[in-house]
Amino acid sequence: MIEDELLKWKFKSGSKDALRRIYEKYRDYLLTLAMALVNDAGLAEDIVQDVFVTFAQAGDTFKLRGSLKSYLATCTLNRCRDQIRARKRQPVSLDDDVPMRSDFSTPDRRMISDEQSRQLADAMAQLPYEQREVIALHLNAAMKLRYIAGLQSVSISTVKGRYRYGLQKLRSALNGRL
Amino acid sequence: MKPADEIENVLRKMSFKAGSEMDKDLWAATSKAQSQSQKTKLALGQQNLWRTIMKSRTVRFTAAAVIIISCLTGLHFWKSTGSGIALAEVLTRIEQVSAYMYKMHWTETRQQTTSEVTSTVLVSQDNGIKMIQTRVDPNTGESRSDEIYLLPRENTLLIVLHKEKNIYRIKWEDAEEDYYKEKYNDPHTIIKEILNCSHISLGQSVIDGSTVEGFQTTDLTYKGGFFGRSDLIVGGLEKVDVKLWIDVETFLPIRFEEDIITKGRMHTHEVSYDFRWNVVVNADDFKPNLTEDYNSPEGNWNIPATNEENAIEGLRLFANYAGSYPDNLDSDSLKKEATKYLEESHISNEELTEDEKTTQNSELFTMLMSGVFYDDLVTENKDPVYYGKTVTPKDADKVLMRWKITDNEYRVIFGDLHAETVTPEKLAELEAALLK
Repeated sequence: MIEDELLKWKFKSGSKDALRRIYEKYRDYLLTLAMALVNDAGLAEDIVQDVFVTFAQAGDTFKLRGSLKSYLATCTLNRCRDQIRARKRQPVSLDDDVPMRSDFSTPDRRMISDEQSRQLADAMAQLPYEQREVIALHLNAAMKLRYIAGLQSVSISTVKGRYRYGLQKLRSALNGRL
Repeated sequence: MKPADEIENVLRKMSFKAGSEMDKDLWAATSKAQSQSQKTKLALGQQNLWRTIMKSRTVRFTAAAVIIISCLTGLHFWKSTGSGIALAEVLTRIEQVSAYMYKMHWTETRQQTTSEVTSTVLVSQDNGIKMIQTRVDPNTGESRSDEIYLLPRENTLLIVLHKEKNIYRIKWEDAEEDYYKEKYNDPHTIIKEILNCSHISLGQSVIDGSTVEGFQTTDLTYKGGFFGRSDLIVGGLEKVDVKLWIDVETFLPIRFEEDIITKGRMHTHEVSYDFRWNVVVNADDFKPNLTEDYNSPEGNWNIPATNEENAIEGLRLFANYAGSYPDNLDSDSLKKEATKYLEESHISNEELTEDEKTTQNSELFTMLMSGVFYDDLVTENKDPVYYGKTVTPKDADKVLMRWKITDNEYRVIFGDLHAETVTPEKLAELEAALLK
């Protein structure tokens, strides 16, 4: 945390070194989160790039009292939500309850992952978005369920329910495959 | 069927990483965005928090590092309350105590996220302040223990992060002991503040078997505490409830409670308790136990004194890097320019050794000192003027910067960075020469 605070301070003073370190520290963390949420390598890359570009542009106007890691994760989450909504508005829409099957479900050569991670991302994509989001934020972004409840504007019990049902579905989907 | 916890463990290990091509593209876009943004903002002449900090004489340049460190460590001592004869006596009693310790529990809630810190604090008149604190990550629920040392004899703030085995050391050249204590709100300093505020008596009560007298303030102008966290109270306070309980037999504090809600809807709650007065300490208690594998990832931060000598040295350093003096001494743009030149002088921060990082930090702070010095002259109405846009290091006899000492004397720093005291008439001649 102290390292992040110093990086924030240096970043605000225009340090390219600080930006580089923040980028390197959280790049793969955000990519993994984005993949867990959208299961689309190209889209995940675009989302993470957008997060970092917006962050870099903020410069000295950037104000953050809390955790840099949570902030970047929340930015990624918001962009993923935007993309999900945009897809729903497309003529061939993807309803929340319809499993998301992306043409890009296998990460392209620009992204490195193991077979298990790809299978997990595919299985996550079968979940309703809200359940997928809770699981990704809790297990991939290490957020507490109570915090996620705030992000989803629902009660903690609803979040716990989404988490529990989501895991159940994943257990079924992954049964014997991992 | 897999047990849920196994599924959870497998999901936690899910990992996607950028390949070299993706990494290259992502960083190129990120880096470009920063560069373009900086150019735009420089042109717009935007100001920021740094400027605000630098404009303040009391919360000036050196405070910046303290603000960072204190914000992230949750370093929190005491806050102010009301006033009263009893409190004056309390102040006297505390001054007579050579060393004491107490515990503190502090929570901060913002946007449904609560941070929690529990600390044990040891205060010694001779040795300084030592704090062992346990912090709970609001997101992961993980706890960690760190140590913070405030060592007035060495003018040093030392932070030890045991989990990472990292050390952060900030050393001031000219800070007074009171400055530290004020920043870190030791009980003695806070009770001084209490004496300057209105309060009410809560009468007597009993805490842990001791008869106590209570004092309370709900004054919204309350500004104690926040120890350099004043940036947190933007917009002021919405609610203040501070209570101090004094043992009627010893006239020493026995409990302190503070509950504050800011207009930004941040809620802090703090309780200091379990005071032990006149404890025996020795110097070794204030020496952290560090093994050889502890590192200082940012190097040391040695912050020079604010004076003419260091201002000149800062200008000299800047000119060495840039080939010219800063166009102006605005703290914001000066900091950005200095950072830029320093970072251009090496390929990557990662390649620097700790000593090299320390040297780089010192050079940065020294370069900034010219701006801090100038800001102080402005604050003190000393009529400073700076001619960095037109005067270069080659202009040995031209006025680079000047300010008033008395009605009959001005101090002048020339283009070659030598300094002289001149009369107003002589200064007028020198400045007239600049127009030719």
